[in-house]
Amino acid sequence: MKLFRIIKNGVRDAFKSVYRNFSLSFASISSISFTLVIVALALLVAFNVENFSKKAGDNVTIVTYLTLGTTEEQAKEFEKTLKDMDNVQNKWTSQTPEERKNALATEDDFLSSVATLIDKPEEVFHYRYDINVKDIDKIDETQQDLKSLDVVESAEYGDETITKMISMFDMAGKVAIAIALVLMVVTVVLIVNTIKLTIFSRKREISIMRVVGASNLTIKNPFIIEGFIIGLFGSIVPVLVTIFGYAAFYEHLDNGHFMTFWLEFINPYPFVYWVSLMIVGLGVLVGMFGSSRAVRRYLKV
Amino acid sequence: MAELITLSNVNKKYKNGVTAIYDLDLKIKKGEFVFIIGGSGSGKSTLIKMLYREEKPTSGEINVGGINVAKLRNSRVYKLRRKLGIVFQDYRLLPQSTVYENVAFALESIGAKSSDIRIKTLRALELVGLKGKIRNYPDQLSGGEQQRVAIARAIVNDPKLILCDEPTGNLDPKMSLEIVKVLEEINKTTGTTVIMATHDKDIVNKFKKRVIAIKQGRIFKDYEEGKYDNEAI
Ligand SMILES: Nc1ncnc2c1ncn2[C@@H]1O[C@H](COP(=O)(O)OP(=O)(O)OP(=O)(O)O)[C@@H](O)[C@H]1O
Ligand SMILES: [Mg+2]
Repeated sequence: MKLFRIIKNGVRDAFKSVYRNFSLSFASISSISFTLVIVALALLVAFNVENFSKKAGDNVTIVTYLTLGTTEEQAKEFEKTLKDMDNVQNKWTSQTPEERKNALATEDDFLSSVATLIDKPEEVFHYRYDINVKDIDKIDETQQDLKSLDVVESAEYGDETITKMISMFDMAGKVAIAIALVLMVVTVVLIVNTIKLTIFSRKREISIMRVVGASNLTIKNPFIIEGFIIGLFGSIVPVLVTIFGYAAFYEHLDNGHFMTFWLEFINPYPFVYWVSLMIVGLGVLVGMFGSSRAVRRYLKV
Repeated sequence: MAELITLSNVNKKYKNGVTAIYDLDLKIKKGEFVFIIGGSGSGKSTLIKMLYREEKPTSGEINVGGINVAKLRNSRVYKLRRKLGIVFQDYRLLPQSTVYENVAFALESIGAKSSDIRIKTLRALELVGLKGKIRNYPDQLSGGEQQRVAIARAIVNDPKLILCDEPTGNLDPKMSLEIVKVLEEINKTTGTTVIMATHDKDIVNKFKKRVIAIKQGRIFKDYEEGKYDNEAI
């Protein structure tokens, strides 16, 4: 009951001071909005890149041929090496020369008649491994690792443009996060100054509160709530941008499909709500972080 | 009667090296009315500030209403303050708030229930004779009336002790007399202990209360039913 009253009075005082210091509060809210729009973009990109990478890892295959005349033991040895490679998914498919000959035999008449002519498949066919990676970003390294093995004749994958595209997105996401971090610092500084102004404008009130025996919680509460409100108001525009912007973008892209049939953006719903929730959470957190810093520095209790 | 305040071997040295209080021992009982007199810079304000833990003694023990004030942690000072009412020379009212709001503010600040706030605020304002002016703003009141608002704010939470640091310092003799009469009335009717630092000779002589004279940070004289001793200054 008592805590409820403290919070209620705190909310009232916080709204009053946002209203009273309107220009600086507005600057803080704008700054936090701008920052959160960038954060929202970073998040939208990051989640989609994550999604692309997972899909691409499953859909882009490194087709690896071992050198002609590889023995069964050497092939086993190769599989052990594969198992030890960090970026290789543990579910590759393989064909021995024997299997490849048999596969050929099931093709059309001509090819199956060719197959019957082959009596030593290991002299004609290479061992073949179809390998998927876990992290599409590192597919080049994995390819190089495979190629550097003596038993490997060739290791190639298609869809190079797509993997290039994905790493570009990944880069863009990282840049956005870096920019957002810098903006976050600027925002916190602005919020600290806003709350500082409130603290100074309420100096008299605060000194009377101390004299009559208000607890530290009661004294600090309105300022922390003010930070909370700034964060909350600051996240309104970014949330709208996230929800409507992303949905519009998704529709514009022919329901999210992008370049190939398997590569698609994440469906907007409920995705945008989750991202919005993160944005609001982050906004409120930054606001309260700024205000608690101001309180610690300028409100000695 | 039991002691409300006990000070033993209290010293106060400010950070700038000035020692304001030397080795002070003092006992004040529940329900007493005490004047503290002394020249400018003798240590009256310092003594009062230590009682409400605005200043910490450098050494010695201070006990106020069972609270060990010298050892009180900053985060717990509010517990002490809730047992006290404090009145300053400059009233310290909120200029943008009405008389009623100024007094209610003390109760709001400690999270009192709104029904209690109303009853207690009106009662306190009645006690100081300001019930007719609850909607006025401080700048619409005389100095004496403003000080009575401050007293109402000090007593609104039924404190055991009222500390006043030169409450009549800014008032003319007639208003000063009124203010001290109000304090005496509160002291008599509710049994609240009152400690008042003052320079006002006429007031001290008129009321015949206990007088503690401080000179250069030491208790120079302590009389029951005393008068303003010019020697002490
Ligand atoms: N915050 C402070 N820092 C340093 N020295 C102080 C501080 N406050 C008071 N003093 C010094 O302590 C001594 C006692 O001061 P105090 O204010 O207690 O005197 P006082 O009796 O209240 O004087 P007055 O009648 O003028 O109000 C003085 O020498 C004063 O300069
Ligand atoms: Mg003084």
